[in-house]
Amino acid sequence: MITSLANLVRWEWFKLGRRWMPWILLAMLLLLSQLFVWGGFFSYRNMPATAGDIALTLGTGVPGERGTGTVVRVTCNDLLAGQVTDLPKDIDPGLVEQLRQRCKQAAEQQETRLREAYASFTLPGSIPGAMGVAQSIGLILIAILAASIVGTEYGWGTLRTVLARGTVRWQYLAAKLALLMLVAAAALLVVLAVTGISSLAAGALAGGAPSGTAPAVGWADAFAALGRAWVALLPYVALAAFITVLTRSSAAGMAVALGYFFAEQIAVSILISVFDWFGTVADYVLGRNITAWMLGSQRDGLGGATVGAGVRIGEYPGELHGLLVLVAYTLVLAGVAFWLFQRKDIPGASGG
Amino acid sequence: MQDLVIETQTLSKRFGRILAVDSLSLQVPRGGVFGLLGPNGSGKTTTLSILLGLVRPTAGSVRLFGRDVNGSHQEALRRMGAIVETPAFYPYLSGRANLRFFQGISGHGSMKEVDRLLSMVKLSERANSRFSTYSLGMKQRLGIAYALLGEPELLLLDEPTNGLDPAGMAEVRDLVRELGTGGRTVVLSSHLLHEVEQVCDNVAILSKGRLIAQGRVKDLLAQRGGVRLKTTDDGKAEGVLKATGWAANVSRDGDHLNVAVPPERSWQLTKLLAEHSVFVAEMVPLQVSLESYFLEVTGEENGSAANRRPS
Repeated sequence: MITSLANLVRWEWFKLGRRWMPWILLAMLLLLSQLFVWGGFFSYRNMPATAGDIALTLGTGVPGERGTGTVVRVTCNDLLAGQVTDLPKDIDPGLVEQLRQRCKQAAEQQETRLREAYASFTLPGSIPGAMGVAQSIGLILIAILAASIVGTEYGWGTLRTVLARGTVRWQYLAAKLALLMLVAAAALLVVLAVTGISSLAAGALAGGAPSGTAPAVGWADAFAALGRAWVALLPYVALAAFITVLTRSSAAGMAVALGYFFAEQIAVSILISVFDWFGTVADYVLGRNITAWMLGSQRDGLGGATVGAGVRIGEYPGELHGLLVLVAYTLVLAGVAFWLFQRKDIPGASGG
Repeated sequence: MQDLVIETQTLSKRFGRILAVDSLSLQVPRGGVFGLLGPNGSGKTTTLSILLGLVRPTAGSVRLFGRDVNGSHQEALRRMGAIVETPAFYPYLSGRANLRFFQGISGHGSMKEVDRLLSMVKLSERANSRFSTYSLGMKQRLGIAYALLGEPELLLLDEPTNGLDPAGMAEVRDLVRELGTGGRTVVLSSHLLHEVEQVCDNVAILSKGRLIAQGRVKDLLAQRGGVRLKTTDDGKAEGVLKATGWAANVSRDGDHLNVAVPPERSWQLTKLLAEHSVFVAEMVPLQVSLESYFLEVTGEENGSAANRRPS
C-alpha cells in the first residue's frame, strides 16, 4: 500500500511539475516573503540612529507641555554628551536633569528598536517573520492549488481515465493531499533558503549590528516557525479538497476556501463586538486558532499587543488548544472528503 | 459451462427519477468482439461505467473474469483497458506524457510500450504535441492506445470511431477486429449498426436500459430470417402457410411471397405446399441486416418486410 501510494505521489508530481500554476504561486510566495525582509531592511536604513530632539516650552517646566514662553529644542545626543549650549542660562538644573533622564530613556528605546529592526531582516531573526508572511499568503495559495489539483480532474474528465486503470480511489486522493503537503513543505523550505540568502545580503548592506543585546530569536525558533507555518496550512488544504470533492468543481473549492478565509475575520470581529458569548465560539474557528498556533512561544512577551482585527494576543486561545483545533479541522474535513470521493459516482458517466 | 468475462445479474442504476439501466443480465463470452448496441440514452455508457467501477449500481451484481467484484474492481481493472465516452487526458501534457503517466500509475510498463502503441495508432509524429492541440480523431486514437496499455485481456471501447473520418473508421474497425483475436475480448459499444455488424461475433441490444436481445449475430439474424417464394398459386400458398402457425408471418411482395421461417424449416415449407398441390418455382433465402433486426426488436421498425433484402 505504501509503495502504491508513493508511486501515485511520484506520478502526481510528474503532472504538477509540468503545470505553470505551482511555479507562479511559488514565485508569488517568494516575492511577498522577500518584501518582508527588504521592507525591514529599508525601514532600518531610514530609522534615526539617535533619540532625536526634545521640545521644551519655557514657563511650564515640563518638557513637551504647552506653556506661554519660548520653545527650545534640545538634541538628546548633545544633552547626554554634556554639550548643550542653546539652553537659557537661568534654567532650573532640576529640569535639565529631568530632560537628561528623558533623553537617556529615549536613546535606550531607540537602540532597542534598532536592534529589533536589524534582527528582523538578518539571520536567524528574519526566518520567523518570513515564515509568518509565507504562512498568511500560503493559506490562500495552497487553497488555490489544492482546489486546482483535485478539481481539474473533474473538469477535464481525467478522473474517469485514472480510475478506469484500477487506481484505488482513496489512494488517489491521498496521493494528491500528500503531494500538497510535500509541496507546501518544499515551498516553505525554498522561502527559508531564499530568506537566508537575502538576509545575508541585507545584513552585509546594512553594515554591523547595532550595539547591545539582540532579541532572543535562535535557530531553533526559526525552524520551529517553519514547522508551525506548515501545520497551519494543512486545514486549508483539507477545506479546499473537501469543497472541491463535494461540488466537483475547482472554482467552488477556491471560492469557498478563500471566501471563508476573509469572511471569518470580518464575521468574528463583528460578532464578538455584538455578542459577548461569541468569544467562546470564536475560540473554535479556524483563523483564530491558526493565529494562536502561529504565535506559539512569542505570545508570552506580546500579551498586550494586538493582532488581526484588533484582538489582543492575550485573548487568543492557547498554543496547544490552537494545535488541537487545527488537527481536528484537518482530520474532519479530509475524512469527509475521502468518504465522498470513495462513494460518489464519477461525473460524465450518466445517461447514454 | 461457457467461459464468461463479464456477467451481470439484474443490474440496475437509477439517477434520480431516471432508470438508466433496468435489470440487465448480460453475458459476455471470452474471446472475440462483443457489440453493445443501443440508441443514445439506452444505458450503454452507464453499463460500461458500472463495469469499470465509476458508477455504483443501484441493484444487481457484476462478475468480471468469473469473480464477483462487489465494489472492489481494482484487481479486475488491472486486466482491462477502456475508453468511455470522449477520451479525457491532461490537456497540457503531450500524448506521450499522458500515456507515460497512465502507464506509471499502474506501476508497470516501459517507454518502449508507449512508443509502440503511439506508432500503432499512428500518432508518433504528434507524440510530443500537447493533447489540447489534437483533433477529435487524434484524441480517439490516443484513447485506443491508452486502453491498450498493459496488454489487457478485456477491452471496453465506447464509441471508438466517434469523430473519425471514413478512412479512420475503417482503420479502427480493422484494429478492433484484430484486437478481438488471440483470446482477448473486446466489448464495442456503438450505435453504428453496420460497424458492429462488420466486426462483432456476439451482440447485446439495449433499449431504455433494458436488454432486448443477446446472442451470436448469426443466430439472432437467422431467427428473423425467412425465404422469398414464387409459387404456382401464391394466393393459395399464402392461405396454407398462414394456417400453419410456424410460418404465420407471410406477406406479399409484388409477385413474390416473403415468409418468416427459420431456414432450417424451409424443407417443411416446400413439403407442406406440395401436399396442397402448390409447387415452389423459386425460393431465395432472405437475410435480415443487423440494422433492420435492431429496428425491429427496439420497436422502431416500420414494415419490417420491406427492409429485408435477398442475399
